[in-house]
Amino acid sequence: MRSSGGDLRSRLANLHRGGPLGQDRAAPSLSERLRRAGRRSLNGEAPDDSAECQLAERIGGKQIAPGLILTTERVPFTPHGSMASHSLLWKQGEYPGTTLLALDTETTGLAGGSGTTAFLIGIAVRVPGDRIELRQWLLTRFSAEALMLGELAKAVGEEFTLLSYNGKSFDLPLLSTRFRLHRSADPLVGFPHLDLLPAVRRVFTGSWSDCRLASAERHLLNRARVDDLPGSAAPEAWRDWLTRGRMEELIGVLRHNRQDLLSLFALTDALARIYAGDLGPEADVVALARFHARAGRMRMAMEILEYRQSVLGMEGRQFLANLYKRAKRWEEAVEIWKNDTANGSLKARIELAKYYEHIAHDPVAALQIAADAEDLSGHVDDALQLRVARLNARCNARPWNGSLF
Amino acid sequence: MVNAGSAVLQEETSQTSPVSQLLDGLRRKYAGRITAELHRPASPAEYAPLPAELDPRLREALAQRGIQRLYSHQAQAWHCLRGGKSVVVVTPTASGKSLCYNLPVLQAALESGAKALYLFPTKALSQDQVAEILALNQAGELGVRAYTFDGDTPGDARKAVRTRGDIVVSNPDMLHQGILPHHTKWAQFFENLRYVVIDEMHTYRGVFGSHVANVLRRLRRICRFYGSDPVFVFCSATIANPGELAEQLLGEPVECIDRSGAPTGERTLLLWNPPVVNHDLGIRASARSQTTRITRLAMGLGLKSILFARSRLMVEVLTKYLKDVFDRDPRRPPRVRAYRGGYLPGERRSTERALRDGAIQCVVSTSALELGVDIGALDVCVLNGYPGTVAATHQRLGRAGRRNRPALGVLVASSDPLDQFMVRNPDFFAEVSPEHARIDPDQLLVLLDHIRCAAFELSFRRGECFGGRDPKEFLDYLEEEGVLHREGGNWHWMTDSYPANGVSLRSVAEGNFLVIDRSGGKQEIIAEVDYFSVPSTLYEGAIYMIQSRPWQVEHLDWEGRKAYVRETHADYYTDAIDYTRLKILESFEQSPQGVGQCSHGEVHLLVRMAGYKKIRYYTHDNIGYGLIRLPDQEMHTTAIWWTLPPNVLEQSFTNRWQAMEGFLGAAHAVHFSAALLSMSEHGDLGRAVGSRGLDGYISTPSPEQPWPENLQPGERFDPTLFLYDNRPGGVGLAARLYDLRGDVLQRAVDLVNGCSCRKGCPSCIGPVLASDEGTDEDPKSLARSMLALLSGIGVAAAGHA
Repeated sequence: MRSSGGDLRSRLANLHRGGPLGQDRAAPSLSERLRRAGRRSLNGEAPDDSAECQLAERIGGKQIAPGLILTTERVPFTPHGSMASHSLLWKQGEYPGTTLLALDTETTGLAGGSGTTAFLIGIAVRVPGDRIELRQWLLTRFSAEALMLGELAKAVGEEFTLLSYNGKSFDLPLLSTRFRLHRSADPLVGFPHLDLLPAVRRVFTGSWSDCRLASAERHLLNRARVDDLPGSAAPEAWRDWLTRGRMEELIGVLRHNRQDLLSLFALTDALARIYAGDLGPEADVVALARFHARAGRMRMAMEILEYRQSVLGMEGRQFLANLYKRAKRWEEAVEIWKNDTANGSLKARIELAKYYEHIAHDPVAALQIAADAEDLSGHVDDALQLRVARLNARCNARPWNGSLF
Repeated sequence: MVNAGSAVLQEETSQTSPVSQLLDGLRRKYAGRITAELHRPASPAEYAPLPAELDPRLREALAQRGIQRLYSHQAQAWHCLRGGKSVVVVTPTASGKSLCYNLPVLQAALESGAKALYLFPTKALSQDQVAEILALNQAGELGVRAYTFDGDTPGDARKAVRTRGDIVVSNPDMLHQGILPHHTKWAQFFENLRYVVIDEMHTYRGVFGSHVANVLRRLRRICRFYGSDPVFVFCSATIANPGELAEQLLGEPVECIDRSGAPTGERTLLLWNPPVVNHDLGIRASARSQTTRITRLAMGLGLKSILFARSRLMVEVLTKYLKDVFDRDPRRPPRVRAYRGGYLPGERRSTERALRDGAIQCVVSTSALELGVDIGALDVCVLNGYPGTVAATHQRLGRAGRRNRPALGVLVASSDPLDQFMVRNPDFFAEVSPEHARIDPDQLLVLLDHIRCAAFELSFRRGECFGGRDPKEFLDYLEEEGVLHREGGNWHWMTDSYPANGVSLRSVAEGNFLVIDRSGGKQEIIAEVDYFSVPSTLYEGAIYMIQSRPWQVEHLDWEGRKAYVRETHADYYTDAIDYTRLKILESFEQSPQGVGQCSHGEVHLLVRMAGYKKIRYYTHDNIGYGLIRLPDQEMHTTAIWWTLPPNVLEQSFTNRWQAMEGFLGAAHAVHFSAALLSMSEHGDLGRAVGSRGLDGYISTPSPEQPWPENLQPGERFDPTLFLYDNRPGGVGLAARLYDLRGDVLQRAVDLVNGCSCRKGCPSCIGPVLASDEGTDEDPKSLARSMLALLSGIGVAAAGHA
């Protein structure tokens, strides 16, 4: 068949632009236009070994193998609270108490799937003497990836708790894919993992415009980044390095990654304080109380709500009443229910009816409240109807006629 | 029936079976409408014993379901597959096709925990399949886990499917976009993948088939990475070349099993032409009226029937007419139901179940029931109009027929020329073979798309083959484009993108519309309509029917992909009027051909919904019009076109009507040969014939408005035949055809010359009516003359008026 002749580019061009092969045409061919755009030649050459050494020097790292640079650093760290309070970020009994290993990767994209590579892996641990030991492996060629993954596996140790920002759904699955592609075991699988993103979202999602790490730093650590490269620029920076040997942006990515890692520790402390009840006006008290209650810390949940009781909305008060109910602190619960009933809450009214029926053993009062509730509710509520019928039967053999006497 | 010997008695019983009664009744009352009767005798079963090595648990499961032995084709498939040979199974509906693959798959799962991947073209079929495996599984307590994995699988269930599924049931689109790009998550599955089942293979043809072939290349590449080499099982409805298609899809030899061992009852097919109701004008009664009449007779005899209509609208109208007869009492469960695309899955499942359980007696369907959805066996199949292809006709007729019982099919012709040709030329109908399915997996742009996707999935190594060829040229191109980065002997994916999302295997996309009922203040989703059907069914004012209950569209939210409807009691339905126009944007190349010129380039295609008609039920009076305000459906694509100078036409034909007739006939043959040479489906290439207007758009001639009477003053008469690539952007068919332009016309000439018909038939220049056959007009030689002008071939031989 005729179309098998000619090189691919001109055949492709032919599909859209026409023109038999080799014939002069007024419009430039696709390859010609690409050459003019100069995507490869105008801005320098792809990096060679000496460029790699130069890069290593610029970032204070060491080329540990062709294509792989390692930087190591010890940074002093001022703790913002006791390690013990970290347990409040976990469910009861799940706090591992092992060394926190912060992890953050920079990748060739955010699209996911097996075509996305991590070209920078940073890890950091707190070591005695209030220091953070930080390591970053920077890939300067694809070919060293297996080596980089191997180095990571050697470095992580045998007992640790992962600390990340969105690592559960991004960094970890991505690394897992990379290990799988290189047919080696994933050294991070199966370890406890404290992902701060859900912890931040839980409490601040309603009041912040977004929950990105930089926003959390600004709000919780009062820290604004200067000269920072947005995380999304990382893929472009690495591509610029690979194809043109440009370093500046890549160095910015390393700085950004380092800052992310350090912030994770400070943020953990700050969040632990917030979770202990040291709440600013932006925090969602009810969501936090719910988390503690689910995690098995009823007292903590109650205390947080009581502390802010004067400003609680209906949802918060009812949750508190519910906690009182579970703790059998009836007086406090009834007080909230009565209050909310007066404010028109149907739920509170039903709770009150239940209380009079089962706890106070006062079916008459219960019936009155339940019947009112039935009148007030706009729709048919089967459970409520059953309750009224049952109470009717208990109070009086005759059907309820709207009055007590 | 009295005093008859036993042999005679048996015969008489079969003669007086309800199907025979219906047949006799039809013959007696409507002899004039039946243009032909085609018979196929019953054929007995051919059995084979259950394989000796069959796992006892499987044997038990089969016994529970009443299966003690296999049909011969099932046994044949078993032996091939166990021997590691890929097969294609081509046997009729309800011949126990799925056991051909379920048995070896389940055996392998029990023996060694081997996994299997099932691919079906639609979701409905997947769910059916899982239900069948579950039934076997339960019967034998096999403990094999089968899950569907498609767009509806919830996020939290996906992990379980990936890691625990023994059989994963999905579709090619999901494999392409959801599984292969995330293959590392499926590592365990791929490592143990032993069988890949591809059912309804005949649907993978044309451009869609070319895409699927490349998805399979990618699948096998991933399997090689995980060290597995699965055996493939293809199943197909009857087409001319199942073995060839399977081998092209797989890129390897495949054993073809096309002899069914399942018994079939006697089948009769009636070709039915509605009676002439107006002799002066030669107008026939509608196919619709005939279809309902035949179905009513069948239902009256207690026969289970299926009725196929060609459009969704016609399904609803026919359903209404039958329901008006059989479902008048709302207290009784319905006996007639409609089934088509656009219904919610729950609605469809419930109809399928009702059919299997015998709860309903008649179903009215579009091609949606043509595929292997399990609805049990039926007695009578009525086709309201010729489905367009021989293969689809057989597929639909195959829905009727139970083991050892007679079945009846009736093909009711509409007034379309093709339908009329078929019923008036029963010999042609009986002898014409099913269509060929063609694919071209190496089509340049399709191949490039999939090499791109494959490079994302795994880096390419130097010297690695893709689809049996070295993709280096493509990889270099992608490198130059900045998509890949070459380092040493490897090409690595370098961009921040997910290429599979940019490649759609089918030309359907853009998201479905939800139909929301807001009668009585509610907000209930009652249907989901695909993008391409929306302009013709959900315009404001449209009557939208579900199970023939009418809703009226009040508001169409185009951006939000929602249509708000309210229940109504209209005594009419609505039918949209659309027209297609085409404009040349740029001509890339042209060269003289014949006495005219051939070009290829970019065109702009526009489908406009002009308005709609309101049609009253039963009388089919046109009782009003409405305007449709919708954005035009536009497509930018590539095309090839042939133009002839008007003066040549005037010299060559005695009048314009003849010129037009010749041009249309030639266009039919050229379209056919172009699809053949570009290995695409007929529908992958669009055809337009017309003359270029002042605004550059093509105005199409019609019998009412032949050229050049339909031209506006000042417009040039410029007769042109277009074949355009029927996908947005095109897949490169036009350029390919331009390269082959000589062959295209040569093949068209050969086609017409080689056809044994007298004055034209659907296989060459399109259907020719008897009215033409009886006159001096000879459409075939007109088309031949036109082809001679276009191609410059055989000018001397073409003797025209």
